Parts: sequence; C-alpha cells; structure tokens
Amino acid sequence: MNIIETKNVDRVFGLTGGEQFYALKDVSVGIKTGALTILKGPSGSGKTTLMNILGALDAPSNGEVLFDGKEIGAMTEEEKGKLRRENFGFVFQSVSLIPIMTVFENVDFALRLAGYEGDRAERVNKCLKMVGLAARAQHMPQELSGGEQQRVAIARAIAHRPKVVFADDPTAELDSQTAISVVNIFKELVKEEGVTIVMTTHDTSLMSAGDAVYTLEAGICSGG
Amino acid sequence: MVASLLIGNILLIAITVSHPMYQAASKRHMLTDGFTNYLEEKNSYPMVVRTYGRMRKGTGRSETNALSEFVANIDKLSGVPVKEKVCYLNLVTSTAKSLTLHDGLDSEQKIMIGALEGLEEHSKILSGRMYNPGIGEDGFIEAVISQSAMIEMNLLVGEELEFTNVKDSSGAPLKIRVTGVYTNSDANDIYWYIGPDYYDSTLMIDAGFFRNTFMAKGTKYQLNETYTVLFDYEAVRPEDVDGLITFSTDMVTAYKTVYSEIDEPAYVAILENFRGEENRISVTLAILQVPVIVLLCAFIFMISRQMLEMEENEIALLKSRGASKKQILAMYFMQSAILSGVSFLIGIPVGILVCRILGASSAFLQFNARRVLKVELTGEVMLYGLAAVLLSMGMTLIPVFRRDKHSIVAVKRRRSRSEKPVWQKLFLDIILLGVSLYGLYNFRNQQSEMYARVLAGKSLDPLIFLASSLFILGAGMASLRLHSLIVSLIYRVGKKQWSPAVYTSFLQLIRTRNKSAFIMVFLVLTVSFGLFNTTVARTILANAEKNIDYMQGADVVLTEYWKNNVAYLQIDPNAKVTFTEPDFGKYGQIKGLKSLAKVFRSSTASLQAGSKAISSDLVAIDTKTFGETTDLDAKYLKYDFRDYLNVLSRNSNAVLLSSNFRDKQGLKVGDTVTYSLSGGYFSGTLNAKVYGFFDYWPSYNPEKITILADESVQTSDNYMIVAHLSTIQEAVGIFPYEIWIDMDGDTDGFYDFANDEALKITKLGDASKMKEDITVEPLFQGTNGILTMSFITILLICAIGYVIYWMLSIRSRELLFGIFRAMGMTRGEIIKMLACEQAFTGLFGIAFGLIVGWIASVLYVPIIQIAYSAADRALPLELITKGTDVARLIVIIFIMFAACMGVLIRQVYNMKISQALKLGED
Repeated sequence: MNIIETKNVDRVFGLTGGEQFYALKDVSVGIKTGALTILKGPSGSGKTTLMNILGALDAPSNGEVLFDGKEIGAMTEEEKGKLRRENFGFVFQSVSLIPIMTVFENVDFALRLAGYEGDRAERVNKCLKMVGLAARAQHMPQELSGGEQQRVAIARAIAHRPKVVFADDPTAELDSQTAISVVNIFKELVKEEGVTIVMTTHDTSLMSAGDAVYTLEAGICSGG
Repeated sequence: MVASLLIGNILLIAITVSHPMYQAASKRHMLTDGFTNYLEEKNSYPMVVRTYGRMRKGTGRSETNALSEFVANIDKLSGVPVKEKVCYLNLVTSTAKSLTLHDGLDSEQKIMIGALEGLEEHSKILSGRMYNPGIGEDGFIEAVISQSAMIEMNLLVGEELEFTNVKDSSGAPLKIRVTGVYTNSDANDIYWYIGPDYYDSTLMIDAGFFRNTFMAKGTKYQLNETYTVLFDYEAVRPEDVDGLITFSTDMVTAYKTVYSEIDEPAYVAILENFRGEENRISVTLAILQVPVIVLLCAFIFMISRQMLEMEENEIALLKSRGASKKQILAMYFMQSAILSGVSFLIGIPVGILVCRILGASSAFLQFNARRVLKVELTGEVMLYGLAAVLLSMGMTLIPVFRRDKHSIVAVKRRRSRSEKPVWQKLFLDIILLGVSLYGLYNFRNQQSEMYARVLAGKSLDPLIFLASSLFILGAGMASLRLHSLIVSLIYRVGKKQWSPAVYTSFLQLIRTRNKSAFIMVFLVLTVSFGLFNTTVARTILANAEKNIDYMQGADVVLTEYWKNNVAYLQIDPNAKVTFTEPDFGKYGQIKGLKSLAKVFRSSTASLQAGSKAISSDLVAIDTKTFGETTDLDAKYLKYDFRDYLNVLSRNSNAVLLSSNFRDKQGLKVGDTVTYSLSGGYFSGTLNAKVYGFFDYWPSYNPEKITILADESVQTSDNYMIVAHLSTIQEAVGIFPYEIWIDMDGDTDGFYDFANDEALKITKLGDASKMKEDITVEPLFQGTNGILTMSFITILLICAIGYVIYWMLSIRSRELLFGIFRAMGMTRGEIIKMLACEQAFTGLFGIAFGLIVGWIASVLYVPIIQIAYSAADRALPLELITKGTDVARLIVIIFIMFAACMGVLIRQVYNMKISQALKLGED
C-alpha cells in the first residue's frame, strides 16, 4: 500500500538563455506506508526536488502526485497547507528550528499548527524523550550542538503524529556516529509510531537502513 | 540602503548648513527691518551722522579740519558705504541792510551767508535763476534763497543786500544780490535730509566761492561747517554691528571739543536693539534644531548598523582571507568618506532650499511663496557643513568599530540572544528623564527671572529647550520598557489561546527586542516630536494672536485728532482747555462695518478703597455698542460677557471692577465707592455703586510687569474700573475717546474710508495687521520654519527607517518563513503574523508617541512660550494642538505602514518555499 505515489513526474527549470533543465524526468515512485524509504544520489541528482514534490512544497511541471489516492496538484494552497500541517512532518538538511523559540516551544509549535487536541505538553515531552533531549527543553536552539538541533527537528516533525515524515539529508552536517543515531531514531519511529519516513541522503553507509531505496541520477529515478 | 544612508547624510548636512545660512539671512533681514521701521515710524532717514565744526576768528581751524578729514574718510573708517554727504557752510549771523527798499522790509535784519555743496544738482529754481559763482563786475555776490527764507526774511528776487560787518579782503562791506528762489528738485531726495525750509535765514552762495573767500588761509571769519552723512544702511551686515556701535560711540567722544562736535547718532539705539534680539534668536533657533540633528544621527547610525549586519559575512570572509582590522576599517572609512563627500555636494544646495523654505514659512506647515530670503554661502556655512560631514562619518563608523571588537562567533551568538538595548542596561532613559524633569522643576521655580531675562532682551536659557528634547528622548526610550511589559502581559494572558500566527509574532516581539527597539523608539520620537512641535508652533502663534485680539479689543481701534486749544496754555496756563469732538456719524459710511463703539480710556484714575487711593485704569463705555463691537470668551469670565454689560446698564452710576479690587482691597458687590479722574486736562470725582467684578475685560491686563534697575522683574496688580461713558462725560466733559470698530471680514473698507475722509488719526491699531506682523518676526518665523522642517525631516527619516527595518527584517527571516510554510502555515497566516507584529510596534509607537508628546507639551510649552511673548501675556496660556496636524501625522504613518505591508505581502506571496529553504543550506 503506497501512501504517496508519483506518476511520470517532470520538474523543469527554465534557465537564463531559454534552455530548459530537467531536475526530474519521468519519475514514478511509490512510498510504502509505514516504511523507511531512502532517496539516494549525488548532489544535484534531484533527490531534494523529488522530496519537495512528495511533500507538497513544490509542484511538478508534468505528471501527478497522489496522496492517499488524492491528486495533490488539484489542491489549493490552503489545502496543501492543511495537508502539510496535519499529515506531514519535515526535517531539513541544516538547522530548521525557529530561533526565537525554545526547544519545547519549537515542538509545541507544530502541535499548535496542527490543532493537536490532546495534552500538548505531555506530547512534547514524550517526543523530546524519544530523541533523548528532554533535559534540554528550555534551551534556545542556538545553545545546542548540530546533532542535538537535528534531533529536536525530528521531535518536532513527528510531534503531531503525521502520516509521513520527510527528512532532507538530515545527517549531512553530522559526524557519522551522530548520523547513525539519527537514522536509528527513524527506524524506531517506523517501528513504534508506525510513521512513514522519506529520507534523502548521499551517505551510502546508511542505505542498509532503508526498507526501500530509490536512486536518482541526473533526474532519472531507479530502484524501489 | 546606500540610498537611504545618502538621504540621511544629505538631510543632516542640509539641515546643519541651513542653520547658519538662515540665521545670517534672517538677521540681515531683521537689521534692515530695524532701520526701515525707524524710517516708517519717525519718517526720518535712519542712519545719519551729523558733525559740527566751528571756526572762530583764527581758532578752531585745526579741530574743524580734523573733523572734515574724518568725515571725508568716514566710509572707510566705519566700513559702511555713504549714500549721501551734505556739507553746509555758513558765516555766523550777520546784519544786512537792504539796498532796495520796499514795503514790509526792515531796513536792517539778521541774515546768514551760507553755502550747500551740491545745491545746484539737487534743487530747482522756482523763480529767478541760479547764482553764478564769484563776485560780479558790479561787486555783487549772487545768492539764492529757499521759499521759507523768502517768507521769513521778506526777501524778493533781485533784492540787494549790504553786510556792514562782513568785509572782504580789501575791507569793503560784502554785497549780495538774490537771484532766485530754490526748492528741492525731488521730494524723496535724501540730500534734503535737512529740508530747504530749514534754511529760512540763509542766503545760499556758491560753495567753492564760499571756501575761497571765507576759508582761505589767513582769513579770520567766524564760520560753521556742518556735515550730514547718510549711510547706506542696507549695506550694514549683522557682523558689522558690534564694531559699528563702538565706532559710533567712540567718534562722539573723540571729536568733542569747543570747536568740533558730533551728534550722538540715533541709529546706535537701532543697532543695540538688534544686538539684543540677535542673541535671543540665535540661541533659540539653534536649540530648536538639536532634536532633529540628534534624530538624524541616530538614523544614520541605525542604517549603517543594518548595512554592516548585511555585510557581516563579507567581513568575516575578508578576515579569514587575512585582511587586518586596519584594512577593514580603512575600507569602511573610504566608503563613508565618499558617501559624505557626495552628501556634502548635494547637501549644500539642499540646505539653501531648506533655508528658502524656512524663510517662506508663515505658520506651522504653512508657507508663503512670496517671501524670499537672501541666502548667502559663507565660510561659516562651509564650516558647519564640514562639521556635519564629520558627524555623519562618525555615526557611520561607530558601528564598525563596535562590531570589530567581536569575533564572528560571538556575533552569531549575540544575535540569537534577546538582549536589552544598551540604553536600558545603562538606565539612560531614566537618567534622561530625571535630568529633564529636574530642569523643568528648576525652570518652574525661576519663571519670574526668565521673564526678566526675556524682557531685558536676553535669550532664554537654552537648557529649557534642551530639557524638553531630553524629556521626549528619555520618555521615548522608557516607553520601550512599558511596551515590553505590556506585550509580555498580553502574551501571558492569552498564552494558551493565541493562534500560531499571533503566538509567533508575540515571541518575535518579546525575544528580538533589541532589533525592534530602535524602530519603536524612532516611531515614538517621530510622533511625539511631531505633536510637540505642532503644539509649540500653534500655541505660540495662537496665544500671541489671542492676546492681540484681547488687548486690542476690536478689529480697528483708533483715536481721531481732536481740535483743541492746548497750545494756548503756554500763553495762559489757567485757560480752560476745550477739545472739539469730530463728527462721529461719518464712521457709519465705512464699507463692511459691523458695529462701532466709543470707548473713553484713562490710565490715571484712582479709586478710594478704605483709606487708600488705588490708582487704576478706567474704561468708559456705552454698554450697548460696546457689547456689539467687542466680545470676550466665556472661559475668561464667571458669567457671560453680555450679562456683565446688562448688569452695568441698569444704573448709570454703576461700575464694574477688576476682581483684584475684591481680592486685594476687600471691596464687594453693592459697595459704594468714590473714584476720581485726573487726566492732563480734565478732572472729576464720582460716586458709584459696585455692580460686579471681572477677571478679564477687553484690553485689560491684570498684571503689570516692570523691570527694575537691577534687571529683576516686578509684577504688580493692574486695576480697572469700567463705567458708563455718558456718566463720565457728564462729570468731566467730552475728551478724545477711542473708536472701536468691528468689521465684517477684512479692514480694507476702513482704510478706504480713512483715505476718502482724509482722517487725521493720532492713534491706530489694526489687529489683523498686528497678527500679520508677528508672523514675519524672525523669531516667530524661524521657529515656525524650523519646527516645520524638523517635523517633515523626522517624518521622512522615520518612513525610510521604518520601511528599511521591515525589509531587512523580512529578508533575514526568509528561511524562517520557508520553515513556517513547510510546517503548514499558510501565506495568510504569515501575513497575519507580520501584521500583528506591525500593529504591536506601529500602533504602540503611535500611542506612546502621542502620550509622550502630549505630556511634553503640557510640561514644557508654557515655559518655552516665555521666550516668545513675555511682554504681552494678559490671558492665561492655552495649549493649542490642531487636530489636523496630528491627523496628518498619523495618516502619513499609516500610509507608511500600508506601504510596508504592501511590500511584505508581495514578498510573502512571491516566496518559493523550496527556494527559501535552500537559504539554510550554506
């Protein structure tokens, strides 16, 4: 069962001089529910572009993207916002925490946005515990190390119980030890919370962790 | 960014240089005004030196020669060009015998032989012909006489005279023939400062011949040499005044001998008066400009700090590539030098423009394009400009120095922390407030001394203006504390309920206080200075106008000339003086006349209160016409003005008294009092019943301010009696009264009437003209101009600063917006967040600004106002703020907000989430 599917997706950028650059060409992938899917490839291969399209942050030039069988392209900005707010969580390559909020507030903010019904504080603490940062709840993001910040970002991405968590090269700026611990958190999440995770990476040592691996090369996708 | 820094620099330089330019120009204007006012009032040329040399039978020659030499070089010595120099020579009066006897001519009479140099060019002959120089073949010297001489001495053209006691070199008596009658060829020729009528006993002969005959070496005639020097007063520059005063007083003492003398020149008073005014103006106007210059500096500082923040990465890069601190500083130094240089070149012409605008201002935010000020570029102006350049360079470089102390790591860390602004850490705001309030307290205690200073023509203590600026500055900064308090409070109250957008904007406001602090303070300062400036300008003018209306009583107040026999008193001191009342009915013909009233005034009445006689003013009125012609605002009286008149009209022996009769002398309504009038030509004693007391009455000033010899001020009570005109006239007779005229609209109709009737007026006051006059007074005009200019400048820099702040704020948060959007916030929510942020800085800024501005006005305007109208403040001061000014200010700020929001909305809509997020990937 695929939660997200792309069908023959192209993403074309117009270059200065009228040339066209295909960041993605005829990509059709399926993201399995409750699995850790890895998109791999060298930089510039289009993996971030594909992930942005999967996460409704970007729209394809051609082709369609389906979430739970619904066409994302047919949604309004408003609906896409709601989709992201309620069903998606994002972890970005570099620091993506909100600098004016504490660790706790950062995670809490995702709950506020999603209109989380239950006890927010309890949920925030649980998520922070999950990533091992409960003790740093009242710190400002700038006071944490890169790995810690990334773990907070993960806690924030899963807090509102999204169906899919997108992680764009979350280990890029981390040492390999920390990188492995981040991926381990993902694996646990898949197992314990039943979330679907889509992660891009160029670190080949992490491939084995994935339930499914797609390889991108100059906009063309293979594997699955 | 660079553009706005440039604008800030240009404005700073322009405003700085406009100061000396405007001062120089307006001082010049003021000086010339002093002279022309004298000319108009005295109808006499304002800058004249008269010298007298006397030669007596061989003595006095050297003194007279020294004096003539001094006069010959007076333009070089004084530094003022001479417009006209008139030399009158005359032999002392001698006896002449007419050789042609005719009716009415005394056989012998006293006549002077004289000569006016240049007479031929400046006169025309009414009958006969001009003299020929020299002695004629028949032994006669030819002479012309003025019309007055013709009448006074009963001479005719062709008359021949022999001077028995004036002999020529051979010892024969001098013989003179009158060949013509002269008069001035041009009525306005200043050569005739002393008019032809003055020479009513002089036979004018040729001046060259006079010198050769009577002043040649070895001759021993008794004669006078009189010079009248008329200076070109328009050429006197303000900077010459000091020297000129010394020069003029010195020359009087230097040439004072038995044989030579110089009259004390009347123009010294004009110059001295100017010197006092000048001082007052320069200090006042300089201080008025301080706030705007401070704000401009702050603006430049803010912009350059922002610029630096943007360039931080480049600096770090340069540093990592091995650029030394010095090199980076040098780079910024060059940059700011170039910027300042360009600003200097543009700033000076802009300064001239500013100066012109200042000169054209007639009221706050009002200009009169017809007024043109002569603007000059002087060395002083350049010096001010240079000082402004240095100031702006300093302001640009301070952030560089400060930044340079921190490493890049420290900077990043510092950025993230919510830090209090420096001034809050130093409690600068509290200190400023304290200092300014202490100043206020001091000034309040010294009000009477301040009046004394101003009345004595000195400038007001500049610190009082400074104190008001410091107060606004301090209160502006302090309002930030209140702001964060209020914001945190609101945030806490609804912490749980806030929507994500509002929640974020609160956090943004609370946690990045340092950044928004500056723009907040800026906003508060703009609004409060704006409000304060309009209040100062409007209040000063409105109160001055109000006082004019009140002291004047009606649109036009005049006293016509009454025919009388006062001159007869010299012959018979006991003669009864009678004045003939001119026709009053004719005033009904004035076009546009609303109503008329006769008002008899005397300042020498006295009223018996107990055992004391209190001297008082008296106003005698006809209640009906008085009530129609003049009015008094109800707020100055306990009851309606008409009620007072109605009460008075009930009894012809009723009087109304100023309330100090009640408060200080213990009189009360119903008392019977005795008062007497003893003017120059009239006197009388009357009994009256007190029907009421008033605090204010048209033309009544409750306080009399006198300056004592030691320059301290004494205020004493001024009393007034209001009685019936008919009763007074019955008791003392009919004497010149004032006519109060109320016009429908302007007073043109009155002047047409006065012209047509050829009215002879001894006293005239026109309220509209007086009001017009104060707007051209350099102090008023300069104040209006500067307040207006500062207001516009503050508005401008605030708008620029605000927009820049927001643009940068958005730019630096683009990544953050990307994250927000990725997390599912819609564009609408982001805009809502920004709007909320703007509202909390903007609306709070306006609100605080209005409060601070209002408090500052209430506290400081009454004291500042002393500088402008210490002498004529009869009515209590009223703070005037024009709603339209405030509305204008707020509308402009809202337009600014809207423009900002427009830019923000566009930016948010055009933002691509995926691209925004990439910003984070460096």
